[in-house]
Amino acid sequence: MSGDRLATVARRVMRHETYTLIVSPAVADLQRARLAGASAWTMWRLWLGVARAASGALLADVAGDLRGAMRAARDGADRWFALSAAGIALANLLSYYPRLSSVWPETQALLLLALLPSSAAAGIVFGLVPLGRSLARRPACGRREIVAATVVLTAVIFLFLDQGVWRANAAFRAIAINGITGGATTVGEQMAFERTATGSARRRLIPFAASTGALFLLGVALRRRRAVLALVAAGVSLVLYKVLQTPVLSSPLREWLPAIVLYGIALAALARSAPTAPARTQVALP
Amino acid sequence: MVETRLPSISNTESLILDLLEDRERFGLELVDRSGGAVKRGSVYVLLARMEAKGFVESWQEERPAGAIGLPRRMYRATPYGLKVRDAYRLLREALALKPAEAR
Repeated sequence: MSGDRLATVARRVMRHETYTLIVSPAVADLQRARLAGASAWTMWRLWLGVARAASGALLADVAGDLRGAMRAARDGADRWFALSAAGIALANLLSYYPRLSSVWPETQALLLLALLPSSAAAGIVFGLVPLGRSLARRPACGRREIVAATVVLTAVIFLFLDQGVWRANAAFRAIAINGITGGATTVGEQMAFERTATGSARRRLIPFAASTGALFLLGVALRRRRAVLALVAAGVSLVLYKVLQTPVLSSPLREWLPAIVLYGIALAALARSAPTAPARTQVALP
Repeated sequence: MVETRLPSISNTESLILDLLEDRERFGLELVDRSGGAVKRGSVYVLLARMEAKGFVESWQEERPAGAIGLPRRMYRATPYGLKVRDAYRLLREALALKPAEAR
């Protein structure tokens, strides 16, 4: 019967109460309308309503999962996370320290410039999976905090990839060029090479920033043993990366689309967030 | 001291409580009776939220053996929900008074 397949999928993917209170009643009303001989136009409108209810319920479900993760963070999550964040911040500061090359031998300083931000950026991106896992211990948390954490994490990754990594790569390549040519290249030749190489590197790396949210979600999903959610998160991350590499999109759009999409989602979630419902016997009314 | 939080109720929730006051109804029936104020895509989410607040209660309808399809979910207003609705109605009416009329 129409709607049965949707109900079966929803029962497996969603929380029990979400399925029972939102999807199941919507499908039941749809089926009853069909049995009562509703017109094709009415059925189409009913299906649209069911789709909206189901997608809204799924989003609410995912938000609920993420909520639990962020409450754990607020309650003082992992000391390892704090140490890692401090280490990454220190590495970043060191990589920007302008007098580093005057304190250390130039080649070692450049090597540090090259290696630390690159590894830190990669560490943050892929570290989000275990971070999500470790934070997904508590059952409930505010949606605003989830959104805020996702936005902040994405902004950090974006800054690393947009500023830190390509500078470090440029420094590393400067060592390589000088090693190959014996220092015989002119400044103009080096600059031309940098423009080509760093432009290519940025195009490849920046789309990773948008996958921050998906990776975080993946960590949460793995912790909760929600296999479907984890697969969706991983798929979103992969597809996003691949889509952004296609030559169909113009270069500026390809670079900024991830941020636009993610922040659009964040703003929508903020706009939809509602205060927590009060308990039903808290206030005695006249 | 225990902090108390006042319950909140929207105009749409008040309307749903009006429709559920005299008898139990199912989701699409509320959509039809509301005259467009309640949408098909949001009625179930709204009812779930109202149930979490304690404004309505719901249950699956009894069906004869062999009936096909999923059972419908029926909704009914709770005394608590009606109290909150009436209290907010009084509040809105009081706040709608002009200063001169309120004296």
